Amino acid sequence: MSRRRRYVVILCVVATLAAAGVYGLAAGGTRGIAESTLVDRPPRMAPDYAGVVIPANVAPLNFCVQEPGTRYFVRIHSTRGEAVEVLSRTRRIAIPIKEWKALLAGSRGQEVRFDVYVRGTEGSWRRYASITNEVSDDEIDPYLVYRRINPMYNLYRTMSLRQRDLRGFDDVVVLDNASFGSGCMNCHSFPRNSPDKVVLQVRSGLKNYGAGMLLIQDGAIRKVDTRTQFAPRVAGFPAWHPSGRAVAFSINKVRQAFHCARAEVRDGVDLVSDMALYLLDSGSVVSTSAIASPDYLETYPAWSPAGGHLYFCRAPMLWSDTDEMPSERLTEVKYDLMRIGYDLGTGRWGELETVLSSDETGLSITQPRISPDGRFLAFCMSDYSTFPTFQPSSDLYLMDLEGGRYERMACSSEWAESWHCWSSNGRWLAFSSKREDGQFVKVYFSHVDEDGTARKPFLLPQKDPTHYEWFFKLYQLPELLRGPLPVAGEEIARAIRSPGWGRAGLPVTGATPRAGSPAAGQ
Amino acid sequence: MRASGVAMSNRLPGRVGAIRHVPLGSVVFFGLFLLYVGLRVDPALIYHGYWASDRFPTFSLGAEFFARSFAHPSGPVEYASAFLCQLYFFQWVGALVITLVAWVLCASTRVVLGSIAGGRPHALHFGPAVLLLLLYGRYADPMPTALALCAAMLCACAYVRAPLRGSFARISVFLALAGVLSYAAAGAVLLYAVVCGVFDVAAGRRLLGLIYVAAAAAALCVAATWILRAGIEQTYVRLFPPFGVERGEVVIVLTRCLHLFFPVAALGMALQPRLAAPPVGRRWRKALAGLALGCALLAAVAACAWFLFDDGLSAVLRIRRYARQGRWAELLAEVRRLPCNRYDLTVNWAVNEALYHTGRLPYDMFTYPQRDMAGGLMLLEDPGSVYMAYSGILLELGAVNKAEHMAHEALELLGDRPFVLKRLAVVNVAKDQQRAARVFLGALSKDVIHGRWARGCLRRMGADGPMPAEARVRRIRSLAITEDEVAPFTFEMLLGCLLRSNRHNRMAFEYLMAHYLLNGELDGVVRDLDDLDDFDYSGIPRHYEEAVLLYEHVTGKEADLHGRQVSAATKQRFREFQRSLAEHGADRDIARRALRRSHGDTYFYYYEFVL
Repeated sequence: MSRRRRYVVILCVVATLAAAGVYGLAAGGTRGIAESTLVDRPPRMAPDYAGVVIPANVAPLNFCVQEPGTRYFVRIHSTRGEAVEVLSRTRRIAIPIKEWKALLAGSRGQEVRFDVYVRGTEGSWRRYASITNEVSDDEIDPYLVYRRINPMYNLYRTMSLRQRDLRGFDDVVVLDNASFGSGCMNCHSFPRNSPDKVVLQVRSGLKNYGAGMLLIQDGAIRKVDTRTQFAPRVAGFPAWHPSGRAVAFSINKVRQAFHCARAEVRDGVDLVSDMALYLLDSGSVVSTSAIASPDYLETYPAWSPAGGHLYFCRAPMLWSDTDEMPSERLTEVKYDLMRIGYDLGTGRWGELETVLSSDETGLSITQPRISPDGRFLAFCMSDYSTFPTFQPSSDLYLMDLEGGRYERMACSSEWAESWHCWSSNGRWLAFSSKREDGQFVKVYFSHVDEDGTARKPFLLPQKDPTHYEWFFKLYQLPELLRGPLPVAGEEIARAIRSPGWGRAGLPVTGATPRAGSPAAGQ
Repeated sequence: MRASGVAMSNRLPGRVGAIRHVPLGSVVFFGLFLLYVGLRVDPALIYHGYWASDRFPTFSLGAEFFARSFAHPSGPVEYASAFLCQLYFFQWVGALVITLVAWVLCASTRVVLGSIAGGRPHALHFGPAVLLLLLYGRYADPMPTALALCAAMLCACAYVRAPLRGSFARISVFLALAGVLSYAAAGAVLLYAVVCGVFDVAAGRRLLGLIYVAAAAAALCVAATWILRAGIEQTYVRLFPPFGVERGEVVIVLTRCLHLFFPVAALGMALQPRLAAPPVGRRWRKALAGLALGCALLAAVAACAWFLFDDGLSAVLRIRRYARQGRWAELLAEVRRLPCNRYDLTVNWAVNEALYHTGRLPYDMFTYPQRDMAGGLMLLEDPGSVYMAYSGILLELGAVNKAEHMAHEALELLGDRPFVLKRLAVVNVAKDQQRAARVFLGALSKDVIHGRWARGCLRRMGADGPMPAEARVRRIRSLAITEDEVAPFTFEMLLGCLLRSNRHNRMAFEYLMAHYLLNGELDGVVRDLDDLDDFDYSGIPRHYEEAVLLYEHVTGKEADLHGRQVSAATKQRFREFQRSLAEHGADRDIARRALRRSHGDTYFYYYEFVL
């Protein structure tokens, strides 16, 4: 036998043995599964993906089976489509994405069952009661933009704005603060879930690149310094007018406080808080005493879908010293839900109305967000405070704007819920919650029916089923988007690093952001 | 000349002789190297002393860290270096790692320089190892640079030893190795190009060699002009994988020497006359001469190592390790040997904590320098890079939330370093936040050194059950503040709060009294003396007695000692102190010098001269 032929023979033998081994492993892996004994309860799993409603276009819900065993087998199936089977030597169940997508595509409006089998050390299989989830007909917007940071106290050094493709596991950095001197990017906003217009607030960090509002429209980046002599602080929480021609923003003087015995250490308060509008056409800032009163703290702007009303939160200012932390009055800070009419064409302000009073609820109302169809208003309520994320008592509530009724959403938990966002079809609510451990903010998605019923939420799926067991960074400020952001992070960073921030013009209509000045209240 | 050069690339003349002679020298040298690094430097000091510093790399098992590390040029070398640095935790394993890296560097240098020179490079190839030795003596950890240099020299070895025929084959191999190297070790590719270029020039392939050198020079200029916008030398150094913040002139000079050694040595080898093969005959005489030369070189290296070793820094690192490991008596013994200029705030904190743990804080606090009243007992508004130390003291005091706060600041500044994760896990267990603790333990389980401990904890905690409270956690829980408040706490308020929650919190009491002493608040000391009954002191601790006598002297009032008495010995020392002070009259400088000898360990002295 020639040397060449000998090599070919050896290669064939090795390949045959390898194939036999693989087959043996695969076949042997589930041997005896037909004789499995039934366990009369569903298996424990992490994350908890049992009894949830999921969109048909979501990434595989990879999970860990929290039951002791030597081998794990999961069969995911519905009445339609081909079942997906996963065999694992560890508790980690990573579902193949292609088969998963095919299954979900064929199971819209149907139930999907997860049959979990675990082989014990003695070699026999146990089959747990099936886990049933529901595949909704309503798709979710494919992209989620969020901020990833450490659990932050006073200092910040590393943070990034990221974009996650919810249909898979691609999670890319849009902007890393290392690219602009470890600065801060504190809020981002998009009109009607569209990536075509972006507002992003940035602050300088170790290097002084200044602070202000970045407006990104049709790929062009504009740096705007919204400070005026009446409102000398940079913009805080932004909200796009649905027309894309104005941005409402708050101007906050935030102080942090720290509890010495409570489970959640952090707390915060706005010592001063006003609101204003930035008009893109004229490049000017306008306001009125109704949203910028020295006697009140106004914050969290949100536009109605038609753009005729500006919703926001307002609390009476309980202190006169705007530099000292009012520790003793911290728990008295409770916000009302307000709204005011505004005509962008004429620049006229309407009447100020109280939508829901904290006197009525006994709780502080924050972060209003109106569904795209204008029917529902989702908001947070906590015992007190401007910052629901630091309040374990913070829950999500839903108000039917047609009748004015409101109720606690079923997707709330005993820990803080906050920073919610509607999908463009109004059927999904993405929000932050600390429900897993009381400390780390993660993103959940809850399906909201036409009548406003929120279903059990599911956690943002990850490629690594153990991801949340060791990943301690926070997923903050989730915003659903219909498409990917069109601007590269380096372009944004270059814009931030470039010298100068364009000063906004002084008010051309309305009043100054601080009432009490001569022009106020017009 | 040209023909011999080609031959040299494949067959190194004298190689057999070299192999026969060099191992003994290498064995002796690296044996001593290992002993020096293991015993004198002690890599564990680098691990414990610099774990919270940018000078020490983080490393994590798992796909995420791997992918992040390998996503950029020089990532592989940094990844390998970060892993090897974790092994410093074990004194002798760390020493062995450093020695092996130095040996690989020397061996590859020897082959390359020998190939260029056409013979043995004598002892020149030990140069990088000597420089590494001196750098480790300054506690600068050049592991990433050393690995990058190793990679460059190994690639150069492969190039000079490869049996290549023709320029096309040479250029192909050169480019292939350069591609791999530029990804694995970034700027080290420049060194590789220069060394290969010099080799080819020496071997008679001048055009090829000059092209390599010119390409390297051009790349360096481009990087200097367009990318880093720095000087040529600066750029060359900065293109190498980083090895932390270079501090001190000696370290900077040694680093430059290490970076420049290879091109300079290669050039030197190329320019000198061809080395002849060792002549035969009278070998014993040659051997003796070689032995004498070797001994002289070793003596010179030993002298340099001795002279350049940073004793003070070594002591500081040892103190940090003892503080971390709770070896309080050894810490206090080490501090007594510490040069004054190394006694900084963190050492001061460690000393006070050690004194507390050994039960000597109210007795011997002023035996040790107390730097200043603001910082002596972590009273800084901004503790800066010592958040972790601050957090540790707060946790021992029972101020769990404040300890958590400080640990999170450390997390933000230092990243997911093992001791930070461990602290946060313990804090969350102490707060009975098991799920949050599990996340930090999950992150820690990816650590090479502490992962086992973390996995053990996770196993003990079970799927959802609580972590069994260790004695330390039970003690912290018993001391924790029970009544929630939101306030911009001063340290004094915090200690008061702790004592209100548990009046038997001895650490809080002693730190509060120390706070009064450091700030000269005599009335505070006298006022809180009745709390002594909550503890098992026999009599009044010495420094409190001294404060009582000062209080009575300054105010003219009699302190209420609640039935206790100031000892006769303290009264006698106070009388002596007063007499000496009076004797020196207005000349406070002379009085201070005189009293420092006799009363430097008393609160009298601190109150009179330091406060």
